[in-house]
Amino acid sequence: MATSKSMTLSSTTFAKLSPHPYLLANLQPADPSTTPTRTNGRQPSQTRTPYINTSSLSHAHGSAVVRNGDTTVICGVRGETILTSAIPNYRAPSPSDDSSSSLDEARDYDLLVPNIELATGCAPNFLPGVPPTTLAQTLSTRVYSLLHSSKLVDVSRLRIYPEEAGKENKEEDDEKMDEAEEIDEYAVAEDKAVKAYWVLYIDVLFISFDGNPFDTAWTAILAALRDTKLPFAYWDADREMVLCKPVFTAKEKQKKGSGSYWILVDPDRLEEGLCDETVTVVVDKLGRSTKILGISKHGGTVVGPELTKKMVATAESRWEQIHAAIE
Amino acid sequence: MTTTTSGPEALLSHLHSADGSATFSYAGYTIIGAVNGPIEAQRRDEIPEEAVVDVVVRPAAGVGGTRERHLEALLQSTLRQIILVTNFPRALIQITLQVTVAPENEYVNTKVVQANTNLPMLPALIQTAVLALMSAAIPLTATLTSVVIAATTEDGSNRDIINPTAREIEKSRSLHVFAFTSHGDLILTQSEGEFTMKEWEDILASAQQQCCPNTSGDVNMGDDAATGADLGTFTRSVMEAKIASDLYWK
Amino acid sequence: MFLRVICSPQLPASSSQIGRKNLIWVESNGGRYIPAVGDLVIGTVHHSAADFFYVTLSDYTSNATLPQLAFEMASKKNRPQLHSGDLVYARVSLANRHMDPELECVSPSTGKAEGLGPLSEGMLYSISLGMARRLLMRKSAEEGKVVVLDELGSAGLAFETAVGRNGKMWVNSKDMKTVLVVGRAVTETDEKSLAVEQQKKLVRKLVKEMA
Repeated sequence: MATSKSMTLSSTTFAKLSPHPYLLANLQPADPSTTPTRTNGRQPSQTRTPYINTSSLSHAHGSAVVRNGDTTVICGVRGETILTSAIPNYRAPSPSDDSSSSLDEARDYDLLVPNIELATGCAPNFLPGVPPTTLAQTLSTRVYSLLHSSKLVDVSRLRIYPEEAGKENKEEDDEKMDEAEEIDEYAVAEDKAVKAYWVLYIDVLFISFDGNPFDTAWTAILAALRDTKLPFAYWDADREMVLCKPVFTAKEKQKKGSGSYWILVDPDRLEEGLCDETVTVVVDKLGRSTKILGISKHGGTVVGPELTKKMVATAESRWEQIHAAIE
Repeated sequence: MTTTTSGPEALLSHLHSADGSATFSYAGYTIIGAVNGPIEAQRRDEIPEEAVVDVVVRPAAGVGGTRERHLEALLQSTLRQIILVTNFPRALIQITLQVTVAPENEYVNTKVVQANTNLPMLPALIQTAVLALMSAAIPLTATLTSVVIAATTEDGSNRDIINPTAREIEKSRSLHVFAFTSHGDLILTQSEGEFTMKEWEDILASAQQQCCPNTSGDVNMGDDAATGADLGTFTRSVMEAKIASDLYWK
Repeated sequence: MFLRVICSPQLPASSSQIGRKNLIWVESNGGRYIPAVGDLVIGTVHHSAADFFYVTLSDYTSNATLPQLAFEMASKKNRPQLHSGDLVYARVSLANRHMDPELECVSPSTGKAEGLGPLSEGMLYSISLGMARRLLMRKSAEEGKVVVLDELGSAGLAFETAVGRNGKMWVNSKDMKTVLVVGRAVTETDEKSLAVEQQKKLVRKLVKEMA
């Protein structure tokens, strides 16, 4: 390392003075023999390894802490009951209604309430005493949207039936169920009227924030929901959901002027701030073939159909990674 | 095959105090857009090298919530790409979009269908914003066209619905919004639901056919392909009419 | 091919500027005024500081600066006293996307005002940028097809006007009624897109109403 003392800025100073050229200098090293590396030392397509710890909150029905590099998120799930008589415009689901989409109980009765907070001090740009930032609001909406569109939570599990019907399921309540078993168990209860519902309050708090918030938040929600055990209520049956779904966020980096660009997977905060185009892909690999549950891309024209295809492939490998961490 | 009953309509520069304005009606939505700028940006917001693009979306009823913030974020990052922001450093270009009419059955079960239906409104918002920007004579690198498509399975066969109604969206398996620049580049994709890569590519092709029939090359969907309005040509003719009326005296 | 289209009421002054690659200028009527060097503008004094007047050219944009010595015959001891709200007719002497625009009320080559300077009394009308450009054409009647001012003059009304490229028109006369008639004639021509014959008809109607 031959650096002259007088004229060389330390890399941190360089990063602060002009972040954009700093990022590009790392991605496009002057010496062609050096492999391009991101400022955080990762390869362009290298993700950070997620760490997951569940059941760390004692008062929530389910919780998880997810750490992805310096982005740390804690998610708590708390169930509360609501009587059907307290729901305005309640329509009893008919037994045959289960699969049809004309009545979406989870959405119509707001049975899933996600909330995302970016804690003061989790990153320098979050100040105390201000209303929720656009980022927090946008994340909430995206999470809400994905929770419903992916049908992650089996609504029949949130229905609360009179006691007799509920009993048959009692033994199952304390152990985790496989998603495959989900459907048949409640067939027994089909002609009993639903008395109440569980409402799941899903709170997500960012303890520290270093990029890629949606991915980490969603992983935390998955892990927490998987961890959730609702108590057996008297004339109520209860809980359980689980479908394993990974989320993956890739960030597109486009250099101004020239036609070259970089794709940075799992971006940190510095990278996120300097990139224009973002692509998020949600995939589910649990079945035989990969199902895509969402693609969201905005902010530029670099990513066309071909690159989107590549992104999906990257998402699939990320799925494996998260699946391994969550198990 | 489409549910569109009438073609798109637009009215330009009808608000007198705004620098540029447009009202756009299509597929059940009517949106008024106003553009002001370049004006002075607030000190704490200004960017030294480029203009700040600020998008405000107001719903037909009530005040905006997280859903509007999400739409604003999507619109902001998209419009910033086509506005020549470097022409107006430290300035602010403000785009206000007021939804005045939304399709009636947005209300399902007497409750406003939320979040999931973020997407259907997006094409109309994009179209209104682009028309209003042109009315305000803001320099652009390209114009945009956008379309929403729902994929459903009916009697075992797949079908794409362009500009679906709220009820059709409810029944659909997946919902997609695409936006293309006038050069034919894909600038925005939002897809929800459950689908495979193959399905996505097919839907992308029919979206391309909708938005930029001239640039998409030899994509031919056959006779039963749903036909909507050619929004690119529409934008062009609206602008031609506007310029002609501005220069009536020549 | 990458084609960049700019719709603007402010066409570049010379054709050499059109030579930029893949760029089309489309003339239109709307939009906000963006200062360009050499434009004649009507500004409102916002406030004054030690050496400068701060002048508003359009709402919500940053103020243009007008040096207090950039007036005919101005010196340290003898400089114009302008107050908040006063109007000035000025030329843009510096326009740059990175800086606030600068104005002058004197020709730097001759040292003469050439019609520029404070505008006292009279009334200020807002007109579209397209109309302002037509009125500022050397032969506004033939090229710009605006004949209302000529017609009003030949109808025997005495008045003076100043037109700013920033979409402002100032009208003054001894007779208040004349000011109103002139303002109305121009704004109506602008808003209703009147052709030459219609303009003549409008003037006849207005003059008749006045008498």
